[in-house]
Amino acid sequence: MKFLKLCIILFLIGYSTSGLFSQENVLRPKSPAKSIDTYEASTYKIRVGLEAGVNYNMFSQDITWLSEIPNSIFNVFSSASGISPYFAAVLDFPIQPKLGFQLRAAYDGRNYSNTYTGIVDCNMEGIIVDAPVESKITITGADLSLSALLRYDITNEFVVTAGPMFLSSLGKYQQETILTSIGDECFFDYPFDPKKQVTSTEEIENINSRFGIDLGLAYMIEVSEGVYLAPTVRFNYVFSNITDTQDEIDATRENTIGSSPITSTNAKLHALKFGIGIWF
Amino acid sequence: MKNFLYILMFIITINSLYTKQITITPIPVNTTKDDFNSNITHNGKQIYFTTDRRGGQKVYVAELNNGKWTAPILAKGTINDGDQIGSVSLTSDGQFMLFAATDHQVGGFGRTDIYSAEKVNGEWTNVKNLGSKINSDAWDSQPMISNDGNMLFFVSDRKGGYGGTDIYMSVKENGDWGKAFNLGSVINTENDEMTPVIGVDNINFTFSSNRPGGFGEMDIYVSKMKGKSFTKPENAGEPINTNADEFFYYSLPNSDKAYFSSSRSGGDGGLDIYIAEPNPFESEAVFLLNGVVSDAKSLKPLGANIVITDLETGEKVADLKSDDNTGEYYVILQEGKTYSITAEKDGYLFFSERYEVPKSKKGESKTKNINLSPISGGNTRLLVFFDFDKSTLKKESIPELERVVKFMKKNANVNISIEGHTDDVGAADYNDKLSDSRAAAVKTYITSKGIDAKRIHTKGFGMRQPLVNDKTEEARATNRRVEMKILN
Repeated sequence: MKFLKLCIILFLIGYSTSGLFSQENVLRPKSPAKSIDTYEASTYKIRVGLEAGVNYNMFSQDITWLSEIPNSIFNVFSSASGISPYFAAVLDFPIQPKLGFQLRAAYDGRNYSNTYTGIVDCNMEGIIVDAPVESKITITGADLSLSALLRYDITNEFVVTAGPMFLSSLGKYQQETILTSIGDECFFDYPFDPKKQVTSTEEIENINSRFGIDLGLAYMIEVSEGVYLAPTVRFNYVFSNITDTQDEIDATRENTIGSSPITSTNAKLHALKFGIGIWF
Repeated sequence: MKNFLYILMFIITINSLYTKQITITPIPVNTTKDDFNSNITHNGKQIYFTTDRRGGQKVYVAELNNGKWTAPILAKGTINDGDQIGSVSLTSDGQFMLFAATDHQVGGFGRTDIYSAEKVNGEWTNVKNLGSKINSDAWDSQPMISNDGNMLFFVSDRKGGYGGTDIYMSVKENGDWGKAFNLGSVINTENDEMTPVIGVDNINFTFSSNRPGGFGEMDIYVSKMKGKSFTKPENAGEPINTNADEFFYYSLPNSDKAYFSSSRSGGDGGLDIYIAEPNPFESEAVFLLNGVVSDAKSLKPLGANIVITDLETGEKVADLKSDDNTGEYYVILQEGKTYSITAEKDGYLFFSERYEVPKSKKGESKTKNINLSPISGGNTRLLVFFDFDKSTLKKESIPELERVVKFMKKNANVNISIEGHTDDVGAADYNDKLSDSRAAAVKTYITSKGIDAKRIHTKGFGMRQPLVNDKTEEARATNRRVEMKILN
């Protein structure tokens, strides 16, 4: 609801300032045949843009241990990154010759991963071995994002956009964890089913509604009359956390150092987007 | 009475048989938005026009390729950096333009102003406001520069006019635009007068007006410029004018076509650009000289400064530039006149040549390619003139000699050889002496301007090194010459 109010306010600001735009041009000192009410309708049309590209997802969170556990494999959760596709549709409403208002809806695929090699206490039939273990996490999911943007034409080709963005997760994110024992000293499920690698998947309790800002820069190339190709780079900075604060116990060094409660906070997922759009 | 009517009908019938129907044809750059102010370069290869196809007026350009206009693109460079930009007027060489902008990044005097731009390496740049002698705090737009570059017409709604928008004029004084003045009540009325266009002959003058008595909205009117006065404008009539707007009536030089803009029904929408053929208001035919400036060794096209001077009056009649990318240049000259053509570019020896446009050459186009020698090892023929059978320099030689002085000062390490040659009339000994003394006369002038005499060697070859082995007057004229060669 707040988002909708923000959109309306932005639109009203833009519309009210449109009266400041001079009617004058190089052909006539005034445009008597075109009143301000009809000018935009006749000269400036609403444009439609379709965009596709890749997200470079950037995840990070703060992890704190109550007691220090050096080289904990939980460090793998401190950051992650990866590439995923996105698709967007945009409506552009001109306000002034160089200023416009855009409504943008996008499907944002998510895929980010991280790898960390830490030390775990490996219990080999009562013998505790501090063994190196590589942990790899891969998180996948998708968001629907809606942005209300102000567009400003820096030049005839370069266009910047900026505005608030609302994100909603399309279902829960999936997390896959792969643990791999490095060396020959440690096996998982020893001695019943000894193996050097185990894989598990789980759903993440991510926060469904998030807010951020959407900044974009596009270069408009006219390919035919009224049709433009626009290589685009965008940055989505999300203020909201993607997961709530989580408390867990790190027991990976239980037998040698001891267990420690850990807290994960400030989990953020931003994205750098590289795409190409076509505008009509 | 009956016979009179028959004769009258016969005359009307014959007259209608010989009066060509004017056809009005849209050109394929038009869109559903306003497209207007079709400015075609004198070589007919490019059209610059104004359009608001992307929202807001901008300058677009299309090129003529195999008889068809390419898809228009936004004119490159910094000219389009701003809001509401257009109404271009190109100088006759197509290398400079005047244009109007309501809000250009360069800045102006408040409302729409007139600016200049220069074509450098294919891009329009070095945008400058024309200043307070032309622009005011009112609306100033629609510049139109004459073919010789010495007259500027434009439109303004500034205070002190006859009402609405009026047409103003400025004349170049010592290289700068003089204070603009209103064209007066013959052209301007209490209604709007706009879109002035002066023909390449500096006589045919067209503009638009919504004065009473027209076909509705803005109509094209035609007048003739005589000195600084104008004949009473006449409505161009149908089918040029309609009950819609008509603007910017351009007559193509040496052609029976005219381009103009109209919002008449049946177009693509808004203002569209049309061709009227045959053009009922043709400008007088002119002589068009064109060519390419190239490096004499590599044949690479060069962007060089070219000055055309009337050799009879000593008056500079054109100051143009060849295109940086193609080396092309073109200039309109008057028949029956003799000119000097000089091309200069840094790193090259200047080139000068006498060029005569014979009488009755109106409507013709001639090609004159220019090769510039790189300084190292270069040589050029000097355009110097002597009294008959004497070694006294004529005053027409002074501009060329000053160029040599300027060149020597700019290239202080260069030594030159001045070499005199005669034709084959007269005794060989006499011609040796004559050519020697003529080369010495050139050296004397140059050293009198502060150039060290040690840097200048002279030699007279008499008639021993003719360029053309012939006995015609044309061949002899070619062989009579003074050359300048670079020694180091």
